[in-house]
Amino acid sequence: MSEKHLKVAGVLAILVFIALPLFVNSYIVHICILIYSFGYLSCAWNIIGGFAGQLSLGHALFFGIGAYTSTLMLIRLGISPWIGMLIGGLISAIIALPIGIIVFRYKLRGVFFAIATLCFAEIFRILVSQIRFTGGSEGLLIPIMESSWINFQFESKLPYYYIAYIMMLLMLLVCYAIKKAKLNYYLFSVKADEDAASAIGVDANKYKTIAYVVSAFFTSFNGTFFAQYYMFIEPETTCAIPTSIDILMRPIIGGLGTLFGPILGSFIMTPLSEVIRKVVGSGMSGVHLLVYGVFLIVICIWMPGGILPYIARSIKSK
Amino acid sequence: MPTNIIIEAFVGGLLTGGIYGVIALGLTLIFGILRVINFAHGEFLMIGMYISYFSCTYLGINPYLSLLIMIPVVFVLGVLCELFLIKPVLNAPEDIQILLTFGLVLVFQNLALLFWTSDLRNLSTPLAFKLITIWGISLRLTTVIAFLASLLLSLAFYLFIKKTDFGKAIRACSEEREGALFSGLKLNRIYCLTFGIGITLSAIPGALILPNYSVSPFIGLSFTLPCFIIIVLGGLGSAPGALLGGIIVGVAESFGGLLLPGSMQKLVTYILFIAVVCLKPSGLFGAKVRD
Amino acid sequence: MRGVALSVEGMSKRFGGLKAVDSLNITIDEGQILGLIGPNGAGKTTTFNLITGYYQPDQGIINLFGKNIADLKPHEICKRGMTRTFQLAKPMYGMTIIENVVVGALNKKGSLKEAFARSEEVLEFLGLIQFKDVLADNLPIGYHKLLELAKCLATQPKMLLLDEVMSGLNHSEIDLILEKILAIRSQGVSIFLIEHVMEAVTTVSDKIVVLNYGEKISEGTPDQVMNDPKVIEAYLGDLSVG
Repeated sequence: MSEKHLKVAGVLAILVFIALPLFVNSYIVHICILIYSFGYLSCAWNIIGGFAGQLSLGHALFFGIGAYTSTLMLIRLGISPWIGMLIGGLISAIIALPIGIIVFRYKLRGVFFAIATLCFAEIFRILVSQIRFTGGSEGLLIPIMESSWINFQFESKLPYYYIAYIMMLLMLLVCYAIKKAKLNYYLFSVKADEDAASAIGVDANKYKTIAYVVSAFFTSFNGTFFAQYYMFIEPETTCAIPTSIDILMRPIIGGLGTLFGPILGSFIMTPLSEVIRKVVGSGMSGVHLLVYGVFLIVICIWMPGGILPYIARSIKSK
Repeated sequence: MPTNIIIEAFVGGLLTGGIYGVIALGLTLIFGILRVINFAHGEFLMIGMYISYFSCTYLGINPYLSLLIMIPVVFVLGVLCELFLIKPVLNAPEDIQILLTFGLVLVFQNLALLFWTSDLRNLSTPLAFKLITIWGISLRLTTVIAFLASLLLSLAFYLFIKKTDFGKAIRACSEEREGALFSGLKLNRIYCLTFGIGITLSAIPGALILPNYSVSPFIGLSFTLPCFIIIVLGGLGSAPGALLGGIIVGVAESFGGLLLPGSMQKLVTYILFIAVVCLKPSGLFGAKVRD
Repeated sequence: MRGVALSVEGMSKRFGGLKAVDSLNITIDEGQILGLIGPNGAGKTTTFNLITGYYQPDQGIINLFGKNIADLKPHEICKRGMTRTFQLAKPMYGMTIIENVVVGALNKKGSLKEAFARSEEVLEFLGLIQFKDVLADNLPIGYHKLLELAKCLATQPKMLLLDEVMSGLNHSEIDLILEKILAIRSQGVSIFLIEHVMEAVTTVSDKIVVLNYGEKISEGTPDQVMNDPKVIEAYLGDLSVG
């Protein structure tokens, strides 16, 4: 398939997905919303996990900050969730900054960075579930308001579908822009060999922190979307470890560090997750996590780097 | 707060810390020799505890006897995991190792969840309630036994590493991989057995604390995390370092338990991890500069 | 009168109980090529690591063009004009050769376009221009060291440290690199190189420093050093241990 064919296919796909909701039932629309949402989150995570090569196991922290900020601002101050979304993003960025500075300055690499991010996320979750202001472990209900864009609430699924879709496309654009910018060269060199990169003038800590902050900022937005879509948030679904796992699973399986890998990962794993949930029922929770685990192991042994690079390699060698 | 409560917390923490230390020894063995980041370390412990639990419950034996069953099972499990899952990624970049062992965590945790449900398991044995009093402090008998056993295990480990042929082979591997290859040591076999030994070493304290510990599929991380802290504190491959690090973690958690409500107790471990790992910047293998 | 590019005075470093480097004094003049040799484990790479900011010296003064750099980080030292290669460096797989070099070129301010232009010049200079758009994964292994050199040169250094850049190369490849090293020097860059390939280091160095057990045991022109009995003994001793 030449590049031209790929581009045509891409445009067609975009058009198909724009028209899709008019032809399918509400459940499929819901699945698509999930696919786009996770596609968005995967791309955002990929900035730190793939481009910078630092595996964050605690992205639920920023997802949760986004969800809780916009919800609390709505409930307590009556401010539109869109503004809450932006503020949430800023708060996430502000929190990611010292975390990034601390962990990278102290040379936390690899597993220690991963665990530290997990710790921060868990600290947030524990605090949120203890404080009454944030609704404690019972969570918060988003008050039902008039269906409107300002309220970020709609009776029909369609507006959610298009918002999620556009968010995903915008995130792809952001990642594309990063890939073309100086930042990508710095991150790539740091990922390949941090010491060698330092020797030729790359301030590894600075760029890793930038990637982390950017990733946090965008991840946060989807927390708000989640809140407004499900109309209910609680620590277990927004700031817990399974959320972090859901976020990182897709880019890892789809293709770490690539542009479309995360999206591919979401198109594969999200429907699979849903099918598992339907088949197994809510009686046996954790089956989808089991499947994730198996996928991870399989990918690491046979297709490290993810499915997309594996396919690309296979095509090239033919 | 009354002094004797503080002292009890301190001593309790010391005992737990010694136990943590031995668990960390198993991890440091695996790190040092295979150079593998084993995220799933605590999960093996969890499985070991379930095996002990079921042995005790269905065979009516005490936890110490259950070791006879648990040790071989866990050892074999460790060896099998190394052969099929760890070996392929021994030379892979660190990321892949983290992800693979993380996948293992998910698999073990959720298999345990499927088979054994999330119900907390408590071993009902009269042992759990026996107290002994030393110097006016009352301590749980099982904890004291576990602590003493941990000290013995550490000693045994030390002797094994320093004095036996296999121990020397293991040390040769860690110090000079290529040299070991040249001298004909079968690296794969050593890695395999070392992994098994490391896992088993860590799993034994699990059986020992069973009488007073509620087992669930999710306890793995509660051990893995302190282990990582201990390794950073105590240094890689150092038995006294592991014990000392274990004691620091044990005492910190003990006081945390005193000051914080139950649901917030884990905060101590998390904050401790971040603090330790930031303040001891040499990380796991020292400054990561190639020579 | 040439100025001093790099001056190291009384530099020492301990690792635990082991003294890796002991009161080392080294001076490199501007435009000079200084060779660093010594048996395995003598502390040569440690010296490099200390000078370029990867380790902190316990004692000692390190001045680059008259300014202290002892507590600077590696990337800051690069900005001051000193860069280095690594023994076991690999190219950035997944990027083309020119993209590899661009990372170094970005050391100086300017747009991405300017960095690409500078990188092309460097590739021309080193005879790698034909590989410009080749993926680093597909670069023949004989050119890997040249690529390392290219990345360093793109940073526009005034002081270049080369760590065993000739290891594993055949005769013609060594000759090529020697030629490039001399060409780099003629552009005003001072060079400090660690080498085991004796013929190469004696050919290209103006002066040689010999290290053993972390101490300087000899210093002088290649001829002087090669005939110094202390140096011969140090190497023979190393050989007999095998």
